[in-house]
This record gives sequence, structure tokens and C-alpha cells, in this order.
Amino acid sequence: MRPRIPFLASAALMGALAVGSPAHAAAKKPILIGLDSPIQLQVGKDTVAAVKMAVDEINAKGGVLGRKLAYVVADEGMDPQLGVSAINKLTSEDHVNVLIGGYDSGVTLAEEPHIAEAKTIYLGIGSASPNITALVGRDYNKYKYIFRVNPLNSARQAAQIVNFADNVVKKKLKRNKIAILGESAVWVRGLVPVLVKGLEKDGMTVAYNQLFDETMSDFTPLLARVKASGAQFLLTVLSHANSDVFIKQLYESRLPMPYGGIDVKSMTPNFCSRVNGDSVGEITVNFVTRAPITKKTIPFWDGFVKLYHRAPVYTAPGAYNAVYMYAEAVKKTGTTKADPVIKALQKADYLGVAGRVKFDKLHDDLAGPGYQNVLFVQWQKGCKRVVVWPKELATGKVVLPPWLHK
Amino acid sequence: MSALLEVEGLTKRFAGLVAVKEVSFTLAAGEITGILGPNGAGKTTLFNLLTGFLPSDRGAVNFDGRSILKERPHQIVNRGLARTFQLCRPFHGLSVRENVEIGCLAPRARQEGDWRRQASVILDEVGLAEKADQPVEVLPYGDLRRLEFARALATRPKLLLLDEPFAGLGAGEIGGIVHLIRRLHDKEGLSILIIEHRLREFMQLVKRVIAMDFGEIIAVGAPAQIVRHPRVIESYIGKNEAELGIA
Amino acid sequence: MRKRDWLGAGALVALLAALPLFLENRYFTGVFTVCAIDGIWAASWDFFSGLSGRENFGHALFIGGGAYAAAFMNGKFGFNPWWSIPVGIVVPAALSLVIGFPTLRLRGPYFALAMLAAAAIMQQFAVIFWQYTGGTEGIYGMSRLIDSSLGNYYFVLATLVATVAVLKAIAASRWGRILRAIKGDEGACEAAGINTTFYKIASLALSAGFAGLGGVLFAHYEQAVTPDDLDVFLSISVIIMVYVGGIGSIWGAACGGILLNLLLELLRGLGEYRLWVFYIILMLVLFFMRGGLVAPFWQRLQGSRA
Repeated sequence: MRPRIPFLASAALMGALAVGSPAHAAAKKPILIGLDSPIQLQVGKDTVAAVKMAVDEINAKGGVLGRKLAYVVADEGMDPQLGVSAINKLTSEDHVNVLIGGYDSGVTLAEEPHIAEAKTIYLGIGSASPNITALVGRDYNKYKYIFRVNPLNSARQAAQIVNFADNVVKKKLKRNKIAILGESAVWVRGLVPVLVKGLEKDGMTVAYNQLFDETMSDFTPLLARVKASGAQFLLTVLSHANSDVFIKQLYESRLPMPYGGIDVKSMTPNFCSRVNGDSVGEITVNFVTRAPITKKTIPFWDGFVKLYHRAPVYTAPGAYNAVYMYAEAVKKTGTTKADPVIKALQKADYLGVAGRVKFDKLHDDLAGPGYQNVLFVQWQKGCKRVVVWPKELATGKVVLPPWLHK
Repeated sequence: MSALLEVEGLTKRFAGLVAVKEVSFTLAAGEITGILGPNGAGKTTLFNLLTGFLPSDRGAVNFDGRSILKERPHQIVNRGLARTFQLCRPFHGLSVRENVEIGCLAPRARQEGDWRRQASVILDEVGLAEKADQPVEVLPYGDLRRLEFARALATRPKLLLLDEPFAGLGAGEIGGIVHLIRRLHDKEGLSILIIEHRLREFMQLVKRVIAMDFGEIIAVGAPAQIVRHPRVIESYIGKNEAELGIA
Repeated sequence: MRKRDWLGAGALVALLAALPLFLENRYFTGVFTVCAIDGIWAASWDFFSGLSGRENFGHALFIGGGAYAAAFMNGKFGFNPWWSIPVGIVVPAALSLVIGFPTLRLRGPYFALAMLAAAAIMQQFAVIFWQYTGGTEGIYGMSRLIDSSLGNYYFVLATLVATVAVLKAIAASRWGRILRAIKGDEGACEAAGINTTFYKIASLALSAGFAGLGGVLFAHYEQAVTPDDLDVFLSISVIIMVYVGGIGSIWGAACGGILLNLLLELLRGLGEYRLWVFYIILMLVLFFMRGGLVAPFWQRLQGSRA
């Protein structure tokens, strides 16, 4: 389906804005999906691409309840003001039936009251702050429309990172003094305390722990302090920060320890070549890779690559799952009205691209065996990506950074 | 009776160059006094020191019995000491009338009541009534000079400092300005201190002359005497000629 | 003001008030709400910088100051959002005194640069002290002032009208005259017995207070405040709004604010090219219409009738 082109209401300046959607098919209006996503970034582009893929597939099979699916895109950028106006436009002007999108937690948090007022279901696929779904618990009637489909809840990610640290860093690499460096974003602030508590409970010590503001471009003093602390493994928590620069400076300083953690920029397929291979050795959290996590993973991956000639980033499988889950919920209830669909989603148990998707009481997706879990992927020689944890999905063994070969 | 203006040992240095050196003089009320001297003698700097536009290094300045040495320009104006500038400085973007009205908005002038009416009266006095509502940008220089006067007068000064009021004027306009100055003195009883180059008009107007050179006062006296004073002549003509014996 | 000006103003306000009624749509109401807030910011900038000629490159300091005041009052301390208004006016005004006192008595670019630096410093504080300010994500989940979006819009519109009316009245008074004289020649103004420093500082405080008021309205509309509200981009956008609308006219500046936000929203359909096209249009306007679009246009309309 072609995306609907939003109007340029030039008459606004003359005081008579021409309003009116393009003529709908006389009989049945399409079910409209609103995408609020930072379309200038890779995560945004892949969101749109994945939704298009899902929508085309579903429409080819006859659509939902005899209606076709369609989508409309609104840029939310990294700017709360733009995001709020995107939400308003999608809900009040385009009258979408469901919203899919998100990336920056600050933008999503700013948008939530407006999404709630518009009483439109929101399937989040990009932002990680636990506060996003905490609102569902705090004021259910207002925020019941909010769901998170991707396993991004940073507190959950923390738990999975602790699990990785315990099994790989402590038991395999025999290191138990950890340093933590992260950007001072709100989702990181929710994650680090959980991380620290979990690491210490598992008998590891946190030798150094520092957050820095995301515009930082000289990490050498921080890296020096990490080295001086006697740490044996560096855990990173990066999303907007200058990962390219960070990796380059880490490589140049020959930090005497293996490292890894969350590094969103490193999730993009061409990251390693972008930094000239400096990231070989970095272990990063990822959500999907070309491996048979479920029976849908490889068909999705290959289908995406075939259509778009690039590997997808994490928002793509999330958006793909979201479209299918919504379609199923609507089919089950026979309506697009929000309340019944919410109930259907609450009961959903959907086999997605990266695992089973089921929601908890806060409308956040569950983690655990069989559900969507975090993968730990390492850049290895030749900029190859190798899954090193969890064991069931590992495609290779973990290695030390090249300058540490003992 | 104390003098209107008492200046004692006023000194100003600009990074090693002494622009005004130990200047002392007094002005009695109701007089027209002149300051004479070649370029660079320190006359305008003296004005800037007296009116608060420059801070002085040393000395005392008492106006109407009160020290004004540390005061800011607008405070000094509101004591009754106003000045005009060598280069006319009208407010662009405002009309002639609006220019004068600014002066009428000074606290000192506000005490006299209806500022709009005062402005009209002053415009009449200086001969700008007909051009009152024109923008200042279209005024010829002679009228700009009158406007300078008008704005300073609007602040109801007791002592008016005029910095080269004839600069840039043609022969016809000069006469008018001389007339205006005379009238202001005679009718309003305004005390006036004029810096000027042009001896002829100067001689007609002033009662007493203070001659300066290199920042110092070199002679004080009646115009006729000052003009024949050897130091004064020397300052204007230059040392060489003096050594050649031209007196 | 002449009768024609009253009629024109009345017609414009009526139009702005009526539009959302026809469109009945939270999106458009929201867009117009932000347009009106931009108008308040632009008018407040024009009152000080347009009249006195002392350009303020850090107006976002006052805008963000008001917004963060609201964020702390309501978002953090839970006060009723209406309390944000007095606090959001006083805080920026106080900031203006802190910056204004030392810099406005100096000639040269000190004031302009000091304002630019002050806004940047405040923005950095907001990021560095993230434990208190929420860092780059800021403070969110704030309450609305008025629940109905149409009602909120009318309140904002009324505030815009009041802002322009008050500032215009002051600009037309002796105070405004003195500001214009300061713009013409500050030294000569002092020589005319006027305490120029006092008028500059007082005018800046007034400008800051109204900008902060706009910041409060913005914060309670977005229901979130971030360091973007202190950004140099915002400061520059406000200056552009004023120049497009007609500097020195106050009402023209307000119209510039309304138009520019409208333009930005209308270009939403261009996706990635939105800002690119926006800046090109701005450059064309600034090149070819030096005095601005709105105020000179209105004057020309009058001229042709006379």
C-alpha cells in the first residue's frame, strides 16, 4: 500500500485550511497504522521498511476483516516537540487506528500523555526506559493504550546483562572486577542500579561506575580512570553517545581488558567497517541476527534483505511483530475499537521473529526462556558478527580483543 | 557667592599620554566663557571629564557647590550641566520634535510640567518649529546644530557646554547660531562655556578666555589680551616660527 | 493606533480564534497553540531588542527559564500548574537582572555575547545536573493548564493578545520613545539626562518576564520540558520570526512567530527535507524583504488606499 501523503494545507495562510482525507474506497476504509519514528535515522527507516513489508504480506493474503492495511508516517525526530505534534497529527488529523514507533525515551515519555488523551493504542518498538510502561501501572485507565513489543525495557536488559556477566565474563573469561561507563540518559539511569545490584549479588565487584553526558567526545580521561581502577572487564551502556569515537579511542588506548555491553550504534551492520575494524572484540547486545531463534527469524531476515538490500536493525523485527500482533488482535475481536483490542493484546501469545511475545501486567513484553531475549553478539576478525550468548543460540566462541591475546 | 563651576587639578592620562594636566579654573554664573586651543590641546577631553563621559584620574569638580566628579553623565545633566557634541548626534529614527522631547523627559525637566508643551516652546526658540515633525534624517547640518541646542536646552540647564558649535557650518548659518547663543545668554541667563577654533565669532561672544595647550591651561584673560599672548600664539603657530622671532 | 489598525488587529484575532472551530481537530489546535506561543516569544524579543537595537542572542535563556520553572513547580514538586505562571515570570526576570546589570552598562557586543553564553551555560547545567533536571530527556508528565485543548488554545491566544497589547502600549509611551532614542544614539541619550542603563535593564526584565510566560504555557502544553528549550536554535528562531514579521513593530513580530511555526508544520509532509526547505524559504524572505513580511505589508496596504 502506498503511504498516504499528508496534506500541504497552503490555504492555512489565507485562513481556510482545506481539510479532508483522500476519498476512501466507498465500501471499506483501510485500517490505518500511524508510524511516529525518527525517519532520518536508521532505526526510523527500518521501522517504516519493516511495517511496509508486514502490511504488504498481510494485504496479499486478503487483509484484516476484509479491510486492507495502510500506514502513514510522521517524523518524531529526537525532539519532544516534534514528537508531540507528530502524535497529534497522526491521531487527530489522520485518525490512525494504532501507533507503532518510538526510539528516544525522552521523546516517547513526552508523547505519552498525548497518546493517552487520543485513546489510541501505541506499540513501542524503540525506546527502553522502564518509566514508559511504569505509567501503565501507575494510572491504568489513562495509559492502558501503551505497550512495548520489543525486549527493550532497560531494567530487564540489565538482568540479562548480569546473566551474561555471570556466565561469560566471570565463569568463562575468569574476570570479576567490572567497570561501568554509560551515558546519562534516563533509560540508562534506570538500568545501571539494577546492573550493579545484580553483579554484586553474583559475587562480582564494581570497581568503577560513571555516567557521562551524551555529547562527550573525548573519552580518554574516563578510559584512563577505568584502567586505574583495576577493573578486568568494561561494561558499556551507550545509545546516543559517540560510539564511533569511543571505540576508536578505546582501541588506541589499548584498554587492557575485554569490553562490551549495550551499544546501540554498534548494532548497525556496517558499524565495524565504519570504524575500520577497531571494534573487533566488542560484545554488544542485539535482538536479532540471522539465526533460527524461531522459525520466523530467517524468513524475516532474508525477506528484509531481499527487499531493502541491507540487514535490519532492532526496530525492524519489533515493528514487523507489532503489525502482525495488532492484525491478529483485531481479527480475534472483530473490531478496531481500542478497549477490546487492548484486552486481546493482553491475552496474546504470539510467536514473533525473535521469540514469543507476551505482555506482563505493565504491557511490557516478557523475558525468559522462549520469550524474546537479548543476544550477545561479538565483532570478530574480518568484521564478522558471532553470537556468543545465550548458549543455545551461540554461533561461535567469545574471543579477547586482538591486543590482549595471551 | 560661590562660583557655578569650580575645577581643581583635573588630570586624565591615556596610557602614558597626559591628555589633561592639572586643569583648574572657575566659572561664575551668568558668564559666557571660551576655551581656546589647537587640536589635541585637550579641550574635548576636558568636556568629557566635566560631563562624566570619561572618568578622571585626579582632581575635583564642583558644580553649584556639589561634587560631580564621580557622577554618571545623566546624573550630571540632571544637576543642570548640559552639553552638545562636536559632531551632531541626533536620534535617527525619530522626528525633530521627538528628539527634543527626549530631553524634556529628563527628570530635571519633568519637574517643570507638561513636557510636550515645553518641547514646542523650545523648538520655537531655536527656530525649528516649522520642521518639528520632519524626520531628522532630512535636516541640513545647520538645523541639526540647532537641534543639538534644543535637546540640551530641554534639560533646563544652568550651565551649557558647547563643543565647537560652529564646526561644519557655512557663513550664513554661523550668524544665526551666534544670535541664538547670545539670545540664550541674554534672555535665559544661561551660563555658557564654549570650545571654539574660530577666533572672530569667539571674540564677539565670550567675556573671558581660557587658553589650553598640551592639556594644560596656559593663559586666562579677556579675548583681546589672550590673542596677543605669546604662549598662545606659539601654541597655534608652532615652536619653529616662535624661534624665528615672529611674536 | 488608527482605526484601521484596530480593525485589522480585531480581524486577525477573530480569525485565529475561529480557525480551530472550523477544523475541530486536536492536531490543528495544537499547531495554532504553538504558533501563538511563538508569537509571545517573538513579541517579547522585539520589545527589547527591536526597540533598543541591543540584540539579544540568548532569548532561550528566558524561555527555558520559564519552562523549567514550570517543570520544577508542577513536574517535580507537584504544585497546581497555575502557580507556574508567576514563578515562570519572576525567574527569567531575575535572570535578566543578573545578566543585565553587568553587561548592559557596557558598549560593544558584551551584552549579546553574554546572553548567548548564559543560555548555553544554563543548557549545560540542565544536562550536567541530570539527577535534578532529568538530563537530556528532561522532566515529563506535567499537567495541562486547561484540559480541553480548545480551551487551552483560547487561553494562550488571549495571553498573546494581552502580551502584544501591553508591550505595544509601553512601546508607544515615553518608555518606548526612550528605547528608540537609545537605539539612535545612547551617548546622546545620556547627554539628554536619561538614565539609559535603568531603561535598558527594566526593558530586558519585561522582555524576559513575557518570554518566561510563553515558556510556561509551552511547558504545560507539551507536558514536558527538555534542554532543547534552552537551545541556541530556539534563540535564533525567535530572532528570525521577528525579522520576518517586521522588527520594531511588536505585533508584526508576533505575526512572524505565528507564520513561521505554521510554515514549519506545513512542510511536515516533506519528511527529511523539511528543515532544508524551511531555511531556504527563510533566506529568500530575508534577502528580498529586508523590512520583514507582515508589518511592511500592512503599511503598504494602507498606503495604497490613502
